[in-house]
Amino acid sequence: MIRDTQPLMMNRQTELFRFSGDVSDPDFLDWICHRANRLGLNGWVRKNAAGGFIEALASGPEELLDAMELGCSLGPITVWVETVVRCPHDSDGPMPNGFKILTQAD
Amino acid sequence: MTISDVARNDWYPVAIENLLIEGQPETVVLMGETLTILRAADDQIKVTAADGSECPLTLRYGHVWSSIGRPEHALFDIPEAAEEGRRMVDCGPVRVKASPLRVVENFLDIAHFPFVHTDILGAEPHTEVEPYKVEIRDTVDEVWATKVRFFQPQAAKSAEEGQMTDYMYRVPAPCVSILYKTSPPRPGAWDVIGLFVRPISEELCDAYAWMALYDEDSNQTDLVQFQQMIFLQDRSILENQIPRLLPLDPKMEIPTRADTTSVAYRRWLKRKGMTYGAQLVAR
Repeated sequence: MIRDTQPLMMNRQTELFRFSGDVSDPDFLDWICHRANRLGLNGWVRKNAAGGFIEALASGPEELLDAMELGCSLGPITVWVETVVRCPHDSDGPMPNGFKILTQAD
Repeated sequence: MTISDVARNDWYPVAIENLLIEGQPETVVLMGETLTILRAADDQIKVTAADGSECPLTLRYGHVWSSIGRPEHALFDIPEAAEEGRRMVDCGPVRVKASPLRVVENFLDIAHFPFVHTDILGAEPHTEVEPYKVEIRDTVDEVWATKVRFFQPQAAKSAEEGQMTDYMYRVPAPCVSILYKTSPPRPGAWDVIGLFVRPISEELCDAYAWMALYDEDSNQTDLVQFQQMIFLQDRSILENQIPRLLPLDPKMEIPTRADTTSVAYRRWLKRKGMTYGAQLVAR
């Protein structure tokens, strides 16, 4: 099993995700956080109130970032994700250990 | 439960047209309602509800299509059905104790071929699903997956050896899936296989397979038997899936790239409000 996971671990990258559409349900942040933690990703998610979208910074193997996008594109029944935009991110700051919801205070 | 208008006002297969015998009514259940199909002495086919009211009727692709509602749209078109030289094969219904949406989703899944249809539609070590394109085509309101390629030991009854098979998938209605695959005797053309599903309840359905093939050699019985064998392999998997309804919230699952078509299908169902046979909240 270790042999199987090594190629994934070598391929870690960090990406910024932007989820747009009808994403105003506040529980969506918990949902994304739950998804990211199940995938073992590090990073954070927050609501961009001004932009009306959700953004998340996630770090992990590319295949699991793909799984993050796919799962969130469907999301809970209370939201409709119209688009997902992903872009590579050179993270200078420290990444959280695990995945968490950022509040305004953060 | 309340059946949404989207589910109620759609077309569903209720019988195979050429198996209806004059004067011998057949009864089926569609989303809990009993319908009677009758070929009358004047050869006209009628579908009636339990209260005696007449139901909508369309005869296409060898099947009788009806509805418990009032469809405002025509039945989806399969242009290939009108092409010269194709053999039309009705494979008959298979009863499946599963959500009709689960049955359609399974039909769209390529990754299970080597494991469920071993040495026929797939084989180890050829298990990798190459990247392919999936889109919801808004102009026609359909889900399409294209540029799908997969190695198959026996792609069809007419196949004599293993080959890379090209696929396209199309979902023109929530309970219908159509696949296009390389025709073994005519590599430049597509064979067309449709799966038409009639929901009996949210967890029980009849699935009718229909084919429009370029195959002049195989006899009809062998063609039907081949397709039935494939579908019966699927059924044992479908009837053991948990939850029995198709989750529209994937909280308890981890879809990956190979599941892109499935996710597009679920997004499309969600957007349409097609909830019959679906689980809305993950448990």
